[in-house]
Amino acid sequence: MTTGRPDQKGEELINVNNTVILTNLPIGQQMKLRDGSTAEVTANPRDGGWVRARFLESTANPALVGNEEMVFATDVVGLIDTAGLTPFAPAETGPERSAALARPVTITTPEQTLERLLLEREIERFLYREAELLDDRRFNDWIELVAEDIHYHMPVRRNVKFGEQHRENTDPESEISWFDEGKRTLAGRVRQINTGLHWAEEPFSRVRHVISNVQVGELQGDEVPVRSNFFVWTNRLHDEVNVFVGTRHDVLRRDPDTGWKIARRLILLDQNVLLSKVITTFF
Amino acid sequence: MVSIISSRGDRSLRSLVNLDEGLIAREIYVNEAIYHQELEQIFARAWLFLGHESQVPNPGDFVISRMGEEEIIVTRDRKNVIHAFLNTCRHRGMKVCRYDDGNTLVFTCPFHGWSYDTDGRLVGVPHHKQAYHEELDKGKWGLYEVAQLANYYGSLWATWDPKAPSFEDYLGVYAPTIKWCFESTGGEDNGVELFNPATKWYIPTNWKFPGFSFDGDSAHGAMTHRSVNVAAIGPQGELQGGSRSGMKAPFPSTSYEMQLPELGHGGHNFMFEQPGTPEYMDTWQTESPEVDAYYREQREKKQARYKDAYLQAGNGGTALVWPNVNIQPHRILIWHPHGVGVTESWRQYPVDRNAPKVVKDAQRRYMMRYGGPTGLTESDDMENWNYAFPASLGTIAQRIPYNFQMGLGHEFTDERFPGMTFCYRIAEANQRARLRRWIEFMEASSWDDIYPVHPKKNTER
Repeated sequence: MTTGRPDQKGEELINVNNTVILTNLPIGQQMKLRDGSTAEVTANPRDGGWVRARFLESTANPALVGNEEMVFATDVVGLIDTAGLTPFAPAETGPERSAALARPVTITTPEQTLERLLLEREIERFLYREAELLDDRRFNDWIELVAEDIHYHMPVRRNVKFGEQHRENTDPESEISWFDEGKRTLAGRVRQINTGLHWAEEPFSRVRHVISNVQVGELQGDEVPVRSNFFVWTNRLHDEVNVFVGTRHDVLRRDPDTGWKIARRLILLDQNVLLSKVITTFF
Repeated sequence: MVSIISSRGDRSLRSLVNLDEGLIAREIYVNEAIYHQELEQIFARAWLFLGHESQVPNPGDFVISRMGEEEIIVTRDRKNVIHAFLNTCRHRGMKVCRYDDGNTLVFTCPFHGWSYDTDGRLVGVPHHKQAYHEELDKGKWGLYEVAQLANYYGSLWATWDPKAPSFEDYLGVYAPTIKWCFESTGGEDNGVELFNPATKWYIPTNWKFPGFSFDGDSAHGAMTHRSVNVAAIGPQGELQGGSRSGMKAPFPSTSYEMQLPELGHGGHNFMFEQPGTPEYMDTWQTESPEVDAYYREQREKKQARYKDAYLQAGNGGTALVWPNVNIQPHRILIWHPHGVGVTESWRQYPVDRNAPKVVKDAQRRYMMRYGGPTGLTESDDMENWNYAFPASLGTIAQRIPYNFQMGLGHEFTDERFPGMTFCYRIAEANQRARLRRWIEFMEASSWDDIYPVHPKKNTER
């Protein structure tokens, strides 16, 4: 019987100060309690404070044996090696999403060559040019930068428990998002603004897109993954201000005749409850 | 934030609501003292919409909802019973749940560690033996639960008032209408599920602007949504030039505003002039032949179910359940108060539970591009609801009342539908019905004063 750090489980179950990491205790793990009792985990809410456990022996209170009780973290003073158990570990990634959908892009940093620097510069200039078109309200020119098959996706951002980060951004395959659309709807939005009767944008808001932290991934054929952060300021009428901050995961595609086009755009807005009454700008 | 003006003089609430002439003081929309009275008199008393059982399908599932300004945990316990609790620890008040949804064994307070089972029982108190000397009676300190909870064809509703009438009585003759809203399009009871999650956003306005005018304000469409028709981006897709207006059903029916003036509910509905239900109408569903075929087939099933039934007004249309939720077969709109000048708007989208994925996807995408703060159509509603509020705040602005006279005196009854009144489809009778119920709730000292409904008493001046 061990009441200190079990060698094999390492710091996943008990740390250098002999603090038991309650969150990671698997079902079946046996524990030594403050009053000398031993108990076995039967359920773990993984809240750091409690486990449910069945008492195995207790000289202090033999009547407890066989009972299931909630056991608080500071009452667990050690662990007893229990064979064949795997500590809980948070899932690192969720289910893979279709490549056709907007999804996070991975940026690797290739070797720095002159050609590479020129590509990065070209991409940055494209993104700044795109922001300029939006801020100058040249929406007809902006929509020309959008590929015919774009997936434009701004998920809702959930508050989720540690280990469930794969559920944080709503899934375009089955859940509700702020935006989840293609070029036809985006073009409809442009037409709507251009009527002059779209009251949420009439009179026009003053909009400024500040794009930064541009990271360009490796060119794969005609396509390149790009990440960038945005700070979008909108001010309208007398004193209304809306601020949108977040990050974009793009896939840009080079068209030999017309230049770069936005083929996919995942927009992660850093808000849960939307703090603005509408979003009538593009990101 | 806009600052809030104080109440002028000591006029009675009743004098602010002149229903006979359709003149309503702006004060009831902007006055902070009146707002706090609403939280007590209306939101702590009325039946409020919580969500849908499909949001918590398995034992241990939970989702955060709201009643008035306060967060509610809706959860299904391990015996499959659904509960609704105030999201606050009984010890020192901390939120015991700070996740939007999930599945859990217990709700543990991150402050001092009190821990509650999904049925609300306090099951963990740190140092219960040493520090509380085992004198704390855990049985008395469970999560604070709503007084009544109703599962109405899958939809979940609750009230804080143990004396409130049952939910079905609260709905009165409107009950079948709400039941129909939770049917599948094929006419199957409790036939929908909700897409997750609810979308939530702030509108800088009083909750009554969207809450009372939505579904009681057909007059706004032609002007507020002008850009949708002009840009041809409406629900009809490419049909009818993409207009917002509905295609005419080949079924003898008339569109009316419909009210329950005694209960405050009301909608914008069709009155059918023969038994049965209308045929399928081509709208956005035709974008996909598979989706079109599904809805066509469902409509035929529904017609078969109701072919001999003379449906009460309300099957097909929209329905507001007093005080702050609008229920429609394809969307649910909830207007939570969040301060006198802030509405926390929540939106949820039902879909046929047994529909194939292609249909669910099409339905979901359609609702996302149509509705809410990022919807093509509704963004313009937000602008109007927003700026009516600050423009009503001023000293001079408050000297002049709002005009709620549209259709006043032209309400009529129909012997087939007792308890309801009707008005031309563009009217403000629904809003007057809500304001009538509003003053009754605001004056009432308990449910005894407002239910059963006493029409004579309620219209006394």
